[in-house]
Amino acid sequence: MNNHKKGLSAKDLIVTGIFAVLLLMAAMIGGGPFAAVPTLTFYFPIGAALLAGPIFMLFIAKVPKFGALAIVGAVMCILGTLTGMHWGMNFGFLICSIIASVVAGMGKFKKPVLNLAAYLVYCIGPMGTYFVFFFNRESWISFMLKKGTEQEYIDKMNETASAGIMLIMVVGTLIVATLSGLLGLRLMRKQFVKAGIAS
Amino acid sequence: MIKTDPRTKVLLMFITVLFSIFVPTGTMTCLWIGLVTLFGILMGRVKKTIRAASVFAALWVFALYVLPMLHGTVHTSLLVWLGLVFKCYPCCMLAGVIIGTTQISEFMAAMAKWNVPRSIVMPLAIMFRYFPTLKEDWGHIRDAMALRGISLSPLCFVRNPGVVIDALYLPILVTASKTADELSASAIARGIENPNRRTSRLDIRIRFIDVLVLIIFCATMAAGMAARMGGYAWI
Repeated sequence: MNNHKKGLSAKDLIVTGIFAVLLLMAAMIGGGPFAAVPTLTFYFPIGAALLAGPIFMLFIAKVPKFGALAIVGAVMCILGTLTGMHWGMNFGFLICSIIASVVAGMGKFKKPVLNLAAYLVYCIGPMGTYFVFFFNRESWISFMLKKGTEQEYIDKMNETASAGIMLIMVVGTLIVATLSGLLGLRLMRKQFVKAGIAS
Repeated sequence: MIKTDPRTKVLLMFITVLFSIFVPTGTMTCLWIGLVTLFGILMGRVKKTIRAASVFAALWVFALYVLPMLHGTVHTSLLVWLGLVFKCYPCCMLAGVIIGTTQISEFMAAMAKWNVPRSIVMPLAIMFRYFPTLKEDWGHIRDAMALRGISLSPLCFVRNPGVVIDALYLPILVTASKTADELSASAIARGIENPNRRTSRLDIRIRFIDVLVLIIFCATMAAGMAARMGGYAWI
């Protein structure tokens, strides 16, 4: 197969589809319990960052091309819209995936440091909805109420939301993402390269 | 038993999303679930649809009769959780019906008719088909590791995290990546890389039944909107 071709081949697209499932499942298993409880909902990005690191590393090793991550972002964006998520999260995902793709691409998807940085950027994606919450509270509340989220949930969120929580969310996510990403790099080096799954 | 065009199903999905954005009231949600149930049964997916509908009914009865008896934090968190579930339930249930009744080749042929770019359609199609496979693989790995006394329980993880990662997390990644290779090999063997317009033997057209289904769903949606605009609070 011609791997130096510019666009994405059929094989790349299939790998992208499968890893999109894995990334989605990792975010759901890690972050799901957080999202449903109002006092914990701000920690959702932390939970979502917990499991996905090795998947992310394996994915960019298997498809080292610019478009692949952007497609993951687009697919997540479509699925999020279909299940009624907030647009801040959906477009956060899309935009951060594209930036992550560029960051990893600067090192031709081979430099561990840049790959780690790309994973950090990717993990910021789900925070989009909370950024919207902090910077534009009124519109967020009216949007969520219109979409049918219960008033009490929003009250609880208002209560718990403060600058401190925001800081914990961002810093916590970055720390967890770093750990997860480092684990991913270690697994890459020790397992996947030796097993011949990725080079 | 009816058969509809995949494009109709995609449109239904969009209508349902619009519905859950604009008409998130109780009676309308019940009505909508009823519609989706009917649709699912007519599509030939009887058992699972009825099961999903009964789960919804049970939750609904719980929300109506048991929930008011509770107080405090339990009440709030359950209320919030149920609110989210009821918001997402119509979409997820319809998605289940659609994914369960659509062949991957049908879906791709229909999307080719709409000229959707291949780079979006192919990952989506693969995703829908891969979810059940992932579940199956995960079941196998979990069973095998249960023999060695390794499970995903927090206790086991705290005791030796390295083993849990190596024995549960790695295999699922490795199987996924092998599955990806095998799937792409089979797809390439069947000529998916052909740059020409995709052709298909399947007879995919918008028929009378598609129009009928779309009209029924749109009419229900319009009725819900109208009732809301008209100020009928009980709906």
